[in-house]
Amino acid sequence: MPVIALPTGRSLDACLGIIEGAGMPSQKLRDAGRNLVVDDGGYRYLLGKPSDIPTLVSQGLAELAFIGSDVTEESDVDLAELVDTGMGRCFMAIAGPPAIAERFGGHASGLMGLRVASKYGRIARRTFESWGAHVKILRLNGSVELAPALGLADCIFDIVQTGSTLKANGLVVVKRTAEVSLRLVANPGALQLRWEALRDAVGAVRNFVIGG
Amino acid sequence: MNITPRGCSSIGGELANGMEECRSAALSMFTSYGYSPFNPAMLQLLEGTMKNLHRKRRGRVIALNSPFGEPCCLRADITISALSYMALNHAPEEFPLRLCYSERVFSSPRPPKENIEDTQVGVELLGWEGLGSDIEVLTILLRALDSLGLTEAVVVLGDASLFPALFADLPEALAGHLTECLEDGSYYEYGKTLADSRIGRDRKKALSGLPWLKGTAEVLSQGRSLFGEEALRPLSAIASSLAALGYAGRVRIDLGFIRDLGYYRGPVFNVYSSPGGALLGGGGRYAGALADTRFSCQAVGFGVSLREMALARARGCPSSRVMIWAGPASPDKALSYAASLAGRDVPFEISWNQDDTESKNTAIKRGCSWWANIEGDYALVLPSCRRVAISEIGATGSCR
Repeated sequence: MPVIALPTGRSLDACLGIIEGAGMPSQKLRDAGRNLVVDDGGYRYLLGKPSDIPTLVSQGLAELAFIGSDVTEESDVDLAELVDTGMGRCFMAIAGPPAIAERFGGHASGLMGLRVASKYGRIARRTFESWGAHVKILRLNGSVELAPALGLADCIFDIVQTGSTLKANGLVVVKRTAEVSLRLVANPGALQLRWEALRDAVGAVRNFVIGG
Repeated sequence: MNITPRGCSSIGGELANGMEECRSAALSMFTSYGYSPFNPAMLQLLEGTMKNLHRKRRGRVIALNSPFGEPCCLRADITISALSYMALNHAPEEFPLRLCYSERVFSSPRPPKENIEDTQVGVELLGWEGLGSDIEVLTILLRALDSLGLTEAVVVLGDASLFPALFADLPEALAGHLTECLEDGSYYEYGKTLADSRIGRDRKKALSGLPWLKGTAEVLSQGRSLFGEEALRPLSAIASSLAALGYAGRVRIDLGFIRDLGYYRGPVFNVYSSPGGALLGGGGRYAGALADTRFSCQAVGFGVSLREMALARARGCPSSRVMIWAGPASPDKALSYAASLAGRDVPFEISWNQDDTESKNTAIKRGCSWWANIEGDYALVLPSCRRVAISEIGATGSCR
């Protein structure tokens, strides 16, 4: 039975839409209530916190999963990325008070010592390191936008969907760094060993995404 | 007092026993095929190692200075050490050289793993290019796993030489990006890059399907119809030889399997403990150019994790260890019985405890399968404590 991990929270509706659109069983999943393991028509769905999904897949508890590319990259877990569903599109960006933009326009030395608040500590560090800049990453788990206003950070590194939260806190996008969307990922070992069992599900999602 | 740093572990108990059984059986198998034990240095010179490692592995090297001030790293790759040893100690007319080892390798871990060290057993067949050497090491690998009771272990074959051949006429940047996509497991990016490229429609379609060709050996015929007989010849030959050796059901093909291209330049493989099991390790054909060597550096080999092998065995079958209760017996009688078990390759431990209940409880805690009362001439099957004749020990009830 193929096991597919799904993120709870705001991405779950998008996942349900894809699963239904792909013709995969979803009725029991819709009625899951507080159940976190749902067996439905030959599939097992595991519901987990988004940040836990890469671990569930890499540990082999799930073979496939829907998860945002930001979460996968932050986890640094070795996963195969099979399909970009196109859902949940947003982007990763550095944002800050308008005055900070100047520092991003020139040499990397202008970025040295910046204090950057982020939920995505690993990606933020990698991004700045790729520019040759040493910065101080302040790891926050929520309300990152508050950090510059409180003097805790010079700028933030976060995902941006509409930009309205940034605007409300007096911040602007200084630099876009990566596109983010909901992806279908797989455990690399499961792909090698159990491809025949997973092929139909992966094909159905691909066809739905391409057709849609 | 804890003196073990994060990322390292001191292993004892059943796992250490299991690892030792795996190490001993594997090395015995390797040496029977003419592989000589090899003890590589714990430190490797940083510059030479980095030159020969794939880009993805360079970032995981653990660098340090030796006490003599030389920039080094903790042993990151045994193949490079073996090739360096061959180049410095053997003349070309002595080739091929066959080495086997049981050693630790070190690298920075990728989450969720935290261990920076892993003890591996493996072989290196150095200085020989023919496909026979690939088939030889794969056969030894499967036979070693068979000897450990891992008779459902599965080998997944790919071919790192397939991609340079198939991408040869593509623009360099496109070929490079497609290769990176496959190395990174980004199937989506691979497909999108091909879709956006200007190559012909039929070619695009064939290459798009490449990473999805996975499964039993039948996949090879699909591959041949898309990419021609020649491109799939090495994999076909290996799969066919392994089938002839009785391993048909334990070989899978993954034409999208690409690992450390530039380091591996031929057949590559992963080995799993069972069709749904854990990754034990892998290997393939290395073709590099060590600095200051007098010849091309072909090597084919593999490394498998002792820990993963031991865990896979423990999942598959319980320990067959016997606790010999020597409390009321004379030491010479206990040791004489112990010697008889050793002669039959039955693992055991002697309990000198005078209290039979405490001795039994210790045996259960340690995961023993039997508790032998040599004075009473009976044994208990653990943990149920079913009483049997002492002669039944080692005869049934264990797969080891």
